[in-house]
Amino acid sequence: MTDDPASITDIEDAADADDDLPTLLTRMLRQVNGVHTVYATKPIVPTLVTAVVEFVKNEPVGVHLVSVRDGDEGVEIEACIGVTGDEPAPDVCRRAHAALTDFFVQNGQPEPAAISVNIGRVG
Amino acid sequence: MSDSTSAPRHEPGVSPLEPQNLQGHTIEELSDYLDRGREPRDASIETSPGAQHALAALSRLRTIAPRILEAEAKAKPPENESWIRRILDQIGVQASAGRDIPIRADVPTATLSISEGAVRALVREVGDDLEGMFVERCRLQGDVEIAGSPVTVTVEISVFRGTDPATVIEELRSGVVDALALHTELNVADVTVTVRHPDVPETEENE
Repeated sequence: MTDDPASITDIEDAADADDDLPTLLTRMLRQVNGVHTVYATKPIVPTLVTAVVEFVKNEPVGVHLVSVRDGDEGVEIEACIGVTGDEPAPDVCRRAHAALTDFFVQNGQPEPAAISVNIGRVG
Repeated sequence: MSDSTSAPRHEPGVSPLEPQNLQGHTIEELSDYLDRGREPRDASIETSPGAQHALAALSRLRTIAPRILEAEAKAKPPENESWIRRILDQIGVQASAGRDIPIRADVPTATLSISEGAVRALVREVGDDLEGMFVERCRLQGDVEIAGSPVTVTVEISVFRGTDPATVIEELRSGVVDALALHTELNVADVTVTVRHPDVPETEENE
């Protein structure tokens, strides 16, 4: 393995899946105990308009909820989640962060340079 | 039958939520304003009697709707959540996000937080669970974006007629302190509860 930070493409290849990385991470976050929703980190209305335009143009439609960027130091992840009120929200937030980190490790990639997890709703 | 007393209950214009009674505002605008905890203050809404009536009606609806949905859910088998509802949920969370309140992280590359909107919603839900009142407005005062900074939670409520304000104030304050201690890492210095409307009729002929 080189010292170069992993790129988004590297990780998508490593995950060996048809879906792109934001979609994979969204699906994974929905499986984390205590997470009931993954919200969009970018304004959803323009994103929906784009999706509708893509649909009308018969091009691939994708509304990404988790943001993934290639930064100077490596991949940067940003997620916004809704959590159940059954347990302390900070605990679920840390669990979601750990799950995101584990995703990369399990796919043989370096940990992301930055992971941001925001709770948008409790309960 | 005289004109002054013969208006049928469902005649257009009777409800404070009818467009012609909103004095230039829209239900969406007022609903968003309520979601934001009536912040920043909008003078055109606060000084409009029509908008004030509509806000009060929306607040009551917010209080009652979860109980109706719960009763309906018990009576009917669960159905797939509609995609429109999910989209509205997404938009609502973004519209009311506010400031990011930090959550302690063990690794330097992690930035964990809970949105101010989520915290205000927590406060509102504590009020929804109490009988005899509803939360009109909630504000977090202080540098919530700085971990450990003292924060004052200000809650304005309306109390239904026949309810002892002192009792619900204490129940609300206690519930808010517990909820924020459980779900946030805020340093809550004080919870101030103010009764905005002390004598709200529990059932109004607004339908």
